[in-house]
Amino acid sequence: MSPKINLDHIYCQSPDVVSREIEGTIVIIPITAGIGDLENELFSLNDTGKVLWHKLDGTRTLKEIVIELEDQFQSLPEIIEKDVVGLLTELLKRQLILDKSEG
Amino acid sequence: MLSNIHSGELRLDKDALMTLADAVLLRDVPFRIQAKGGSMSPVIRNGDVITISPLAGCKAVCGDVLAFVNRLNNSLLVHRVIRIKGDDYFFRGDNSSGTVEVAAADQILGRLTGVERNGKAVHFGLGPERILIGFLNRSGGFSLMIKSARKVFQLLQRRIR
Repeated sequence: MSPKINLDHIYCQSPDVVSREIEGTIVIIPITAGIGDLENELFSLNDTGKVLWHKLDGTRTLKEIVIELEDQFQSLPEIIEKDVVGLLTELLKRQLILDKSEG
Repeated sequence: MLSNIHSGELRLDKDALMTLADAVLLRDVPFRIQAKGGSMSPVIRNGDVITISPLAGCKAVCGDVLAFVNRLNNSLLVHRVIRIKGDDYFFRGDNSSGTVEVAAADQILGRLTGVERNGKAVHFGLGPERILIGFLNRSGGFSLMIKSARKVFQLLQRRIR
């Protein structure tokens, strides 16, 4: 079952991941069972995902991030929201981010 | 927007893998990666998945297998320490009787702590016997010993047939 994303919640990058920008792409390595697996578990984010990833610092709600992205990308709010919710669902499902509001 | 790299299009070159390995070790956690090449055979074979752990303040000794940055071509090498002189580490692959690589302490990324072959852990060359292998490797003796053992084995196989 996919996790539910709430726009009023604050999300942040999981402390159990390491991420680096490589040739313009964000590469995320989950630390699973105390090991960073460079063999099977690497994820990458495209340009839009990269911008969102940097904003997931646990200081603002998802709604605030969506508003910032609307300004930045000059795109329709419903399109931005749909993309953001889609990506966050994937990130949360793979435990690459945490829902801080769920404490 | 999110893709799994091994099923996606992005290919990571050696520089990228080194950046990621370094980033993981900075968090004081080990990393797993697939070994390429046979310079450490039979301890590490091409395709084995190896685990490299941070040294975490423990000094490496002769016989340890360490991951280090080869500054000649900026590649990640995993070879055995055959001698330590001050801050300089001298390395040679177990399957090599030739080149000795030298790396300073700041080029060392971590220590080999695990080898998996076809999903099974391989322990040879990582226990106390590593000291003896390191000693034999100073003169390339381990590689010659392995080659001789292979020849004897092949001879025995032919006789049995």
